[in-house]
Amino acid sequence: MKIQDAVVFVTGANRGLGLAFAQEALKQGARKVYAGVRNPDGREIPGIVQIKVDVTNSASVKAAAEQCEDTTLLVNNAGIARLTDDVLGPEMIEGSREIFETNYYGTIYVSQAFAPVLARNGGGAIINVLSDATWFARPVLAAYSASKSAAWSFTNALRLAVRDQNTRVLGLHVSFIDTDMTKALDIKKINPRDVAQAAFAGIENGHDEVLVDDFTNKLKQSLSTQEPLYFNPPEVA
Amino acid sequence: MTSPTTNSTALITGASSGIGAIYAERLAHRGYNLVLVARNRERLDRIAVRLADETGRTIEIIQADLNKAPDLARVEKVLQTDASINLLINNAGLGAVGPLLASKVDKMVDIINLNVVALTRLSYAIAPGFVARGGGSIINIASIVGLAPELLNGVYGASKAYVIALSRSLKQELAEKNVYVQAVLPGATATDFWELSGKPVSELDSAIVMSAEDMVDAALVAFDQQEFITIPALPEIEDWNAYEAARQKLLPNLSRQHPATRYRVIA
Repeated sequence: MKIQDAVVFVTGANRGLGLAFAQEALKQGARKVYAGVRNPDGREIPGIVQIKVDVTNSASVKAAAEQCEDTTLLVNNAGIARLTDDVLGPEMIEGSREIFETNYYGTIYVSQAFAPVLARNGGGAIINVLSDATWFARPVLAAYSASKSAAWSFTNALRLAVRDQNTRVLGLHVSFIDTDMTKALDIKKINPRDVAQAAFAGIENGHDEVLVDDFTNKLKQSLSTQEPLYFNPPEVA
Repeated sequence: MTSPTTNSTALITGASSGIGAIYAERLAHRGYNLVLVARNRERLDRIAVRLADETGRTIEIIQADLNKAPDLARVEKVLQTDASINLLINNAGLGAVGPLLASKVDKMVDIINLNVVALTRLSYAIAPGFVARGGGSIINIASIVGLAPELLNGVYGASKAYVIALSRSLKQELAEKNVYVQAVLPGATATDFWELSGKPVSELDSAIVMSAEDMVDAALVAFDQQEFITIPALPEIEDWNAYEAARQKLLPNLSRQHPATRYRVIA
């Protein structure tokens, strides 16, 4: 499908990668761009329609889907990260529950609510924002990585579940992006607009998966080798 | 010229026209992302779309009337929560040209609410974040009438004197925290201000009227030099320095145990 004339719904669109998705969609000629925002604070971007939605709340997600019944491209972008200081402590459980609410269950709620909308509009597509952390974990990122692995697994099931209704599902894997989430990390980061562009190019070319950066590519290639990168992942990637 | 990172964001009040709109344009071209605040949505939309097209920056708008408490609170909230904002421009202001007693007191209070109260609340909203994040800048658009309240309406002049005084105090208290405060004192500037204040700019002697573009460009040169008080029109900085030196000379003697001899009570 084309981004031009698409009606795009992006979750977590008030900043970071979500905002970049919304702006890139606008730039590429989307007919309408809905920005799903948990707490609208009065800030708007002309041309982007703000929709209040809490992806961890099923009723809120359903209401948003009803409001945006012309959506043809869903971007499951809303996500949170918490560092796990102690994998062997109770915070691993607490942190995982909190992160899973948004990154895993949230993705499911939104996909379930919008799948019938997309079906009615001819199929369309879903982009699920995953991560290179799908395929490796370090102790500090344990809960986050687990949530992305789980969301990846759901993405693969979703792809098959909506195939008959002609909806494409694209899994987007990418390393650290330059957003508030990674602000404290002094490392090389990817421009969020480049990520949005890569994802949209993947949609236009009918791809099921997009690996944005070199590290993510290398990581995935290593999975079937004797020494997959997740045995000894680099300190920061 | 300072070149901000992609994560620099400026919030500008009164950004839909005049000085605020020129600041928006100049800063977007310098690489800032913007949050533009004003009452007029249509004009905000137009500026935001144009600047986003021209610069590729993220240009957000907040339609708000800063003389309405809930609207002001919304903008305060954004300043308190958005850690990417590293420049606040308190530009929104209301003026008047009529003599005091010929002016309605409600209109005078509106001026105080916008020029004084809103500016104060917005400064309070951002300053703790600047301190916590290790720096930031506040540009307060004052006016030469802050030094010369005789020129136009007195409440307007007094409100701008407040802006200068608050800026001076903020500057002193926050300098060590790497927070830079600039007070800009435009003279007559060719904007809607005059029309809205009841005196079309065409009635002024053109020799005293600066374009908003020239005013803002000059103020940004001073911003890059981290000047505190900027009077774009004043030809000789020495004149200002002398004024400031005279003020400084007063400081040690303004508070003493005994009245000055000229006030000695003759028994």
